[in-house]
Amino acid sequence: MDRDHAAEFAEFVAQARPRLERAFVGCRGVSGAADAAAEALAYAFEHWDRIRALSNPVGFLYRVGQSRTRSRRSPVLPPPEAAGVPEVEPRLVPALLQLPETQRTAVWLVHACQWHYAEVAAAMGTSASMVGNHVSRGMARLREELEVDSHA
Amino acid sequence: MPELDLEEQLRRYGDAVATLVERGPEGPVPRPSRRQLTALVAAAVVLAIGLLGLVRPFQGDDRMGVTTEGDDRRSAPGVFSERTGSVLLFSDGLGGAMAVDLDRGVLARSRIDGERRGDQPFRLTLTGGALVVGWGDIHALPLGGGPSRLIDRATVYLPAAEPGQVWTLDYEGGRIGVGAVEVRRVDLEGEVVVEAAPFDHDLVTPIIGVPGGLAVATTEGVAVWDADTGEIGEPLGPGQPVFATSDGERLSWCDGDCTTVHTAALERTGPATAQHVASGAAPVVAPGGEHLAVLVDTGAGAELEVIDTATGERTSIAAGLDPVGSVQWSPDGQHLFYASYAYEHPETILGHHRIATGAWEQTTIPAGGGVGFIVLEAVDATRFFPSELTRPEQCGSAAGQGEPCGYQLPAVSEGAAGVETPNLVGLPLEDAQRALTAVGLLGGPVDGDPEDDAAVVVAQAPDPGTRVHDGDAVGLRTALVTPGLCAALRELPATGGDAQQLAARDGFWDALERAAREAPALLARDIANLLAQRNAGEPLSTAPSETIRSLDRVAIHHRACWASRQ
Repeated sequence: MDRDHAAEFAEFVAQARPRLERAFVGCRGVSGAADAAAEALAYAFEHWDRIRALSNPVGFLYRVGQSRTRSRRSPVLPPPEAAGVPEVEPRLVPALLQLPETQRTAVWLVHACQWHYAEVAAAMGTSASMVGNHVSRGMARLREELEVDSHA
Repeated sequence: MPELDLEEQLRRYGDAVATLVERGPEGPVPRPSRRQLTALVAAAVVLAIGLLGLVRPFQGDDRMGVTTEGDDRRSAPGVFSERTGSVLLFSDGLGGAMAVDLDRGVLARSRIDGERRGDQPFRLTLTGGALVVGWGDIHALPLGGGPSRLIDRATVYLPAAEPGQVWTLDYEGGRIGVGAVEVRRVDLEGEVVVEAAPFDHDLVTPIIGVPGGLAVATTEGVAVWDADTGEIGEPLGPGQPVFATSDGERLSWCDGDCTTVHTAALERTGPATAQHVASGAAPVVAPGGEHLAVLVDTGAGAELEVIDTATGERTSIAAGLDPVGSVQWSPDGQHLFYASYAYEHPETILGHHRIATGAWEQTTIPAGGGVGFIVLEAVDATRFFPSELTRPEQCGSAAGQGEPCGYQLPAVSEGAAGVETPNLVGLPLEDAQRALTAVGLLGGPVDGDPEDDAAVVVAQAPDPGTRVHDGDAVGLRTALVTPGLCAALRELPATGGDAQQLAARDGFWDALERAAREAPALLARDIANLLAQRNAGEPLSTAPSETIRSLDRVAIHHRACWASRQ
């Protein structure tokens, strides 16, 4: 990697790492998010010529990080109080963790990470309409679990 | 809860955890990666072997058929290398408890009537020979036996300093902090001992029991409400703590992340506040009051500190721990235990510190689900262990079902060829198999993850009475062997387990093809990997690491077949 590409890569990492880490929390937990992001960025370094040409490199790297850190373990998420947001409903975290993985991933990326549907679709390797489907079902389950009015 | 804006709650929570992840490379809930774990375990094993002159022999346990016979190479069954005399009782945050006998290395799960999932400041409290649990309907479970008893109907309870009693808080709005709160102290029979005038929750928040009353958070700081007079004393110090601790003479509490610990003398003295499981990290005073343990969140994991209450001197015990983990002292105040927060997690990191020696030992057990724990003397914990540890299949669910179920707890570490369980060496194979099955290490991968396949350690007796073979100096790597499989693998001469030597034997591929027909599913997959490499015309020397690991496992089975014939 030449000097220009190295600088470009460093700039990309500065922008992409926080987004990836936050995104990975939903599937790898707080403790695994940094590792997964690091794996993804290591891949990006090795394949920078390819990655820099992508329209949505973060979405692609999300898939890389997921496949490189496969785990059967459920992610570990801290209770809201421990995360410094005691105003958040404590049952939200266990309810989130009970969602099927695809729904949890979609809900997490859309609502907790504020990603666009198209970005999530690229990250999950599916279509935007399917993302919408997962989000809709996941949120419905959360509302049911938390006994929240569906129109709140 | 119709007013809850779920999208906004998710966004706020996402913001918060993103901040936690950014705090440091280890994150706020540090758990070692597989590579880090392997290195740590290897270092710990080498250190332990060096310090102990290898490992102690088993202690007897008729229930699991653990033998006391054997040589010095057998590992101790205990979770830690040192005896502690303690059982850790974890709340599972749902409806049950997980008991870990540290010295016997036995784990059991049981249901506790009255315990239920939900938002509550305290989950288990040990007082007067009973466990107090629950919210809404508060129950007491006698340790000596018998069913749980309903002792009060209230929103939540708080531990008290008076033995055999707890405080109950009944909020007007039915939820914590909603409306005025009625406060009373009840005993284990449900008799009301003290009843207070309702508190205005906006001004006064009860925290925990202290002798003669309650520590409360007020707008001016922490103070004590006196149950006899109904008066709230002068502030003892600043802060709005959620949790506090008292040895009966002093009250200690943290500001924020426990970097500042306040201790103030109480006007009325008496027994220490009952041992309890709180919903989060909290300072914990040792019985006798000489020491105070706190988990201090440094931003790169938590540091466990012990504070000498007489001098204020702080001693760092361990670092890189889970900030939302929990700590507790043994009843004699000589042992300090730590456990990571393991709700919906399959493993728990345990730590042990002994005051007398200053030693710290940390290990991971292949069982999770605990949100906090209390420490019992082993003699007080018998009701949590079944008389026969023969029902591991009952232990799959977090809460357990019906009668308690239990199993020998393999002490798991990760070695080059996968998971190693050194404390099963010397066990009859059927007992080892039962132990491994109970914790999910035997029976196949959960979701086909190849990493899990690589980590599976299996053992099965080809002949009744055969004991687990000591695979190597640091651990056990056994194999699921059957007569048919071994007939095929024994066509190849013994190699001492060297995989490359085995692969170089004449007839290796023919034997492998015959073995494939007799192999259990996991080994069959390994053999298929190897055959695919051969069929592709590629030498094993250029095979990917996963195929090399497959070869390692075939070699382990090959050696086990030869060993089991002897």
